[in-house]
Amino acid sequence: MRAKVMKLASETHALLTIARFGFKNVFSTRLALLGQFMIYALIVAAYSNVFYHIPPEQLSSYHLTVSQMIWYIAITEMALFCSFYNFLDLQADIQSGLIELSLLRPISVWKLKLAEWLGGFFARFCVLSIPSFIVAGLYAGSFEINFVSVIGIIVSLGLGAIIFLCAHFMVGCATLWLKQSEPAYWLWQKSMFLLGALLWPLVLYPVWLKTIVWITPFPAVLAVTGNWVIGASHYLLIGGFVAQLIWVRIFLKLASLMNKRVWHYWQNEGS
Amino acid sequence: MLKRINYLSGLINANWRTHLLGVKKTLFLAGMMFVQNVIFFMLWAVFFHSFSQIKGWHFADVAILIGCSSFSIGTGIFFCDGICTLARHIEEGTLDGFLTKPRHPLPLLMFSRSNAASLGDMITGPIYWIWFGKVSLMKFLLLLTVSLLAAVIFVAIMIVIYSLAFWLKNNSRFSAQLREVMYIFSTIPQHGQGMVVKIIMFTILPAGFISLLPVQLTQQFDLSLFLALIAAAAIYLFLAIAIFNRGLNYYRGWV
Repeated sequence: MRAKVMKLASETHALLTIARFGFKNVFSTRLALLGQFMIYALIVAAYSNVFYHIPPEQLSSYHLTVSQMIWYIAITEMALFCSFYNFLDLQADIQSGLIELSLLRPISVWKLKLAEWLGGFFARFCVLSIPSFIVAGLYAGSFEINFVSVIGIIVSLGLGAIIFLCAHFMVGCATLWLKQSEPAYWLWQKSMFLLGALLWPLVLYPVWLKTIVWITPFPAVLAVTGNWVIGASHYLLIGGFVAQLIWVRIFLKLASLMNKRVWHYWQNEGS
Repeated sequence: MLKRINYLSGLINANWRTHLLGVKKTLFLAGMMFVQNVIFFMLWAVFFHSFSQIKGWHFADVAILIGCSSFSIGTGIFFCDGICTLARHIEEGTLDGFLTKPRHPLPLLMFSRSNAASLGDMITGPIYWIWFGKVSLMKFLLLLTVSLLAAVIFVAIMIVIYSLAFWLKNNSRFSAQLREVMYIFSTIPQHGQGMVVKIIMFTILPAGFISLLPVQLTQQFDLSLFLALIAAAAIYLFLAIAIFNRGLNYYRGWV
């Protein structure tokens, strides 16, 4: 028992160190961070101008306001901007054979990668969150957030990040079979845009599509976080939170299984 | 002049042969790109399922807009993807290899790589125009012409964006980000944008020339707009070459 606790403590310490490394790494490219924020602000600005031209009576029939639409896209885009093309990092490791070194470490690759990427995600969140809220507030003309929704956004963002990053790990591992994982990523990313409701809330989706959407993991990555600013019911918010927890569990398991597949592949096929 | 054309066509031909060597891979990548374009476009289908129009623009107009940006960006990247490697070449010092050649390094660099996936973008455009935009044959030809001009503007702005790496050392990610914003901007309906965004869209990130002007030209042909597009293509290309040359001189002095 004591040995188990010791092992867990040492593993947690190692993962936290890696996460700190991921966090610091983000600040090595400050110009890229600035660029990221500029792009974010421009996207929010451009879509805000689109939303201001929606016929008001049509928008109000969905119980939405322009301000809520702007805040929604500001939050979902922020979730997207806090993440990065992490799968490319893993793809490069696999293509160069560096993954072999990672496989020899006492801690599984998927845990190491996830810790590093989560550190990076948190760093980008620290940098981008407040400016993003200001940009959203400026364009929307009002603040659709309060203390509870900020907490809700942070928790949902974190859970969504775990799902998102586990998916990146699996997409990156697909390099072993596809030689190049970008096509798999394109499909994952665009499916997330559509089924995760990146640009507009799920309320606007046709009923048949909404049904499909909720059996996929994508709303748990983006839409659930965005729901905090569109006046969603408590039922929907709690349901979304439960869905996130379920998908986090599933994706962690899938990432661990994928890690095993990679390990077996390497043992059987070699470099 | 003929020698230059022969040289450029030789470079394009070399890229084409590379794709022919791996037809299956090329088709797979192009197909995946096409599928992801369709998935993204469905977002707009959802939007117009809920709302009838955005400042007078309907679903067909947005389809033409996205078709134009897909075709022009796809064409630019298919033929001149090599320019996207400029930042990496500068960082790694491998640009020197291009400088040792007797010809100007820009064409060689531009045509040094072709992106197979962008064939999917090139296919997307005409399909959207015909399927969703329901354009006539004349309008189709007009769209093709203006999109080719837009492709020139896109390549020119890519040269500028990636030439930034001459001055902003070890920040190739910044150039890639600017490219991404070009992609995103050119797929957003631009006619209702505010002044600040419009200024950006017609100057430093000319997404307006890539997708807005082509749509406006198909809605109502205006010779002055058409000439403005040709002039913009010429000016952006001239500026791009000038900036690249300046950067190159800086690089030569730097190494």
